[in-house]
Amino acid sequence: MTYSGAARVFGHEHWLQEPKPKEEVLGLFPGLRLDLWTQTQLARAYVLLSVPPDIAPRVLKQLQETADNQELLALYAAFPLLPSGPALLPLATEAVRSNMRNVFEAIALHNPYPAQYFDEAAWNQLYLKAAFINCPLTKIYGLAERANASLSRILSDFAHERWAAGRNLAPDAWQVVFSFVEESLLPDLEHLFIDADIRQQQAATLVCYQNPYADARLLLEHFPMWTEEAQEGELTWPSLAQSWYEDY
Amino acid sequence: MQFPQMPFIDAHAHMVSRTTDDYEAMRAAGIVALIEPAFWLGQPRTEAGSFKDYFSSLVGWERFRASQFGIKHYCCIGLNSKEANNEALAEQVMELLPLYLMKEGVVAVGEIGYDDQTAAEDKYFRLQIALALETQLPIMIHTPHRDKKAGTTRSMDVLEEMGMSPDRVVIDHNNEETVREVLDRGYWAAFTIYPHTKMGNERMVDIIRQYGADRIIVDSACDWGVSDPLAVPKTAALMLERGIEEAQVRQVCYQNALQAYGQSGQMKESDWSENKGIDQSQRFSGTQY
Repeated sequence: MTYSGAARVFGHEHWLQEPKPKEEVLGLFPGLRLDLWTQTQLARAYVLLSVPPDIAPRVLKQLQETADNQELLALYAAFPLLPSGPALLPLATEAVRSNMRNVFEAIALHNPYPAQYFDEAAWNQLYLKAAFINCPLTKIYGLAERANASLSRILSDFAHERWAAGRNLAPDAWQVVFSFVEESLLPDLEHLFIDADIRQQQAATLVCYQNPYADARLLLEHFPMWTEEAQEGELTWPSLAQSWYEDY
Repeated sequence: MQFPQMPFIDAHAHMVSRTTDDYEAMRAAGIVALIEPAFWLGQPRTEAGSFKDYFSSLVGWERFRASQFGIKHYCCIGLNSKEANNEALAEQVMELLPLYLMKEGVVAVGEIGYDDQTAAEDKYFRLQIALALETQLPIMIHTPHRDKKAGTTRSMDVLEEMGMSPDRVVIDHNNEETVREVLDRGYWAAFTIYPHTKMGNERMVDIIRQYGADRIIVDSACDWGVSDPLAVPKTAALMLERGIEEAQVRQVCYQNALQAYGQSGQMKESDWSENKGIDQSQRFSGTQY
């Protein structure tokens, strides 16, 4: 009830007011954007931190089962702060299954918990679901560290499904394949290079540019239209995301 | 159908039973907010867990679904009178209620009251009035379909006996036979517009003519039965056509519901007026999280 009641005392305004806390404080948990939290969220995180770790998994499960939309969001966003760590995994993977977009985003975006604790299958599900519902993927923490061959393969299959339906993936979806380009992926990159949408071409450019594989380099020589931008750092995954998502 | 250009609140709608087509049509007709009172699901539940999941869906998934169509969703939480008759289950549901009553957007304890007017119904009605007093929430009363007039009077007697202030209670499902006493005793009187039974919208026009618009609320109570999620805007259109003043139409189809349930502190006009139509951030692109 204290957790629920927080909203009656605190508002949904952002908690950060002047003077701002030092950068060190905000940077204590890399990947976590505490600066985007609301007052109520912060108060709820405080309540969660006061739950003794030995009973936390049970208490948090009850909370999850009876929470409203905003309460779920505050719960999952606070996971990286909680001492229970891996014991929260079942709750975290359940969060990824949520159909409420803001709840899913609370675990998926600006949240270091999944990168730290999810196994490969759970990580890949999170990434694909985010791609599926058009979340800005660059806001997922730990993309480069958690990239894997299986994810590249699944992403390629997903792109083929989309292409069959006459649609494209978000261009920044491809950022996780760069270390895993092999023969099977080359036709996909070619497909991107000849797409009419320059942002798809730019995605292929970035993948090839960041990849040491000789055939990727060869592709880049064939399709050099955006290489210069990539070299000069004007074309990056965040800049590409910026051009793709409304209100990125 | 052309609907009047004014905002509407449907103060009683069981959206768990409706489709996204309904949400879309409701928004297009001008409904900006609605209240979903907890009720049964068409057949009695046999496990407390079913109640827990139902209450959670009212404050979670259903709220999200509505937001996708630019409609602000509120709810009432309570143990309905039909299922209060399973006492073993009712005891467990009573333990669940405090977990939900303090949540954001919970605007009343409801819908509660009598159905068959049994002893068990009376027991849990009283316990829930006490909960409303404790949590300072308004109450939404479901009046019985059988022996309605006496059941309505009895509901008000019990409310007053327990010290609940009438101006914090909405008595719902009124008809020509019950409305006078409900208004005379100082309660809000809601009318449910059903397509075939009970209160048709033609009769509603006559009631406004006779009683005016003060403390009267029009709602649809749409659910899985034959019912119309557009009952409120349709009734508004008919009222205007029959010469009811626009200010009165606005009162019964919008303002009164806001005022009555706004007493919870959980429902404000700015909740939807500052939200420009459909919540794009929820639906299409990333929120800050």
